[in-house]
Amino acid sequence: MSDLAQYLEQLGRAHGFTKEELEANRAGVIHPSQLARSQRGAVRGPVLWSLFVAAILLGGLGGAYAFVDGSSSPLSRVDRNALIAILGATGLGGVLFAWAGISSVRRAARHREAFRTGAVTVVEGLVAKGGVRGNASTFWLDLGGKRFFVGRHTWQLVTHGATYRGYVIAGQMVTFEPVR
Amino acid sequence: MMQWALVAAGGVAGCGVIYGVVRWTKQMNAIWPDAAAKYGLTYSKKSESIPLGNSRDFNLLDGPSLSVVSMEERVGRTRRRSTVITARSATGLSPVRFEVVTARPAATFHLVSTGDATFDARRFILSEAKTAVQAVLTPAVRTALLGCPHSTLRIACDGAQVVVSFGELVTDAKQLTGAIDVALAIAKGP
Repeated sequence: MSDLAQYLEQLGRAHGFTKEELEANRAGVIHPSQLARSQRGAVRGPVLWSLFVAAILLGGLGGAYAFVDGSSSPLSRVDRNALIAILGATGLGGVLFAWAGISSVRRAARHREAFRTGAVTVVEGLVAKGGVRGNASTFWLDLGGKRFFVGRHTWQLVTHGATYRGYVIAGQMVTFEPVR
Repeated sequence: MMQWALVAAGGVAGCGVIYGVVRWTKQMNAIWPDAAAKYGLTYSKKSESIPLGNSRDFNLLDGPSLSVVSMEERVGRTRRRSTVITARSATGLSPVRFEVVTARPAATFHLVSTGDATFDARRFILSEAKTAVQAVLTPAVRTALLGCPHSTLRIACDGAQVVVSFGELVTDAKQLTGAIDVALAIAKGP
């Protein structure tokens, strides 16, 4: 195996792409496995958010029912106010998390759509490595005037100041390779 | 008697700690002025505030053929540090960029061998322009690099200047002078 092939294999393992995917992107097309990977979560995301909102509503309403059941009848003024607070908080929590969920699901759907209809664009140039270390470490590569956030392992494999070519789909650098 | 001995021992230990802190602070404060005096540069310090209570502090050394800009940016709990040393070169260096690291890199595709076994065992050079880097790494440059304690050093040369940079905070005089010596050795040419 040549040095380049070995290096590409290392980059692929770290960044999550295969030789076949890189070859497809070089030819300007999206590999079927990249497309399949990008479309994941179409069902799981909405289901998880719906379950989360349902759990909030169930918890709030169940709590309110248990509260009423355990109180004297008719409810005192204090208990009535507490019940209103429980139901209000449940409604507010449900609305807020439903809104966050819908936003998240729509954002993910837009990204999937962009990936499905998008083309492979090429960025090339000298790479500049950057990063912030600490509790929440972040690593990035500046290439061709764009910033791509990558994992630590990918970042460690890239040589600062060397020329790389990146293949970008929907703003995401899916594959890349050294030019020299 | 025993109690007095313990109090005395505690006093000595406390004085030792205070002396150590004062000495360390003095050494830290002297790093930049000492480097300025050593290389005939002008030292200045500046600070600028950025929104939401964050700040950016600079230590600057400036001279006719050498300048150093060290920046520490504080944004919330994150710290971003960079030191950039620029040395003017009269020798017309060929354009080249390379990284010098002290730990063996995970990928060896861009690894450059200098042919000096002692050097190659202690410093690892990464670049895509292997021949140009080998021309830059003269014995004087290799010696300067071995004397530089940074775990990662980034070097870029063009025809007119050499830029040496690193992202660590300068806490020791050798970290600053070592990197300046590298820049000067490269700028001097073969």
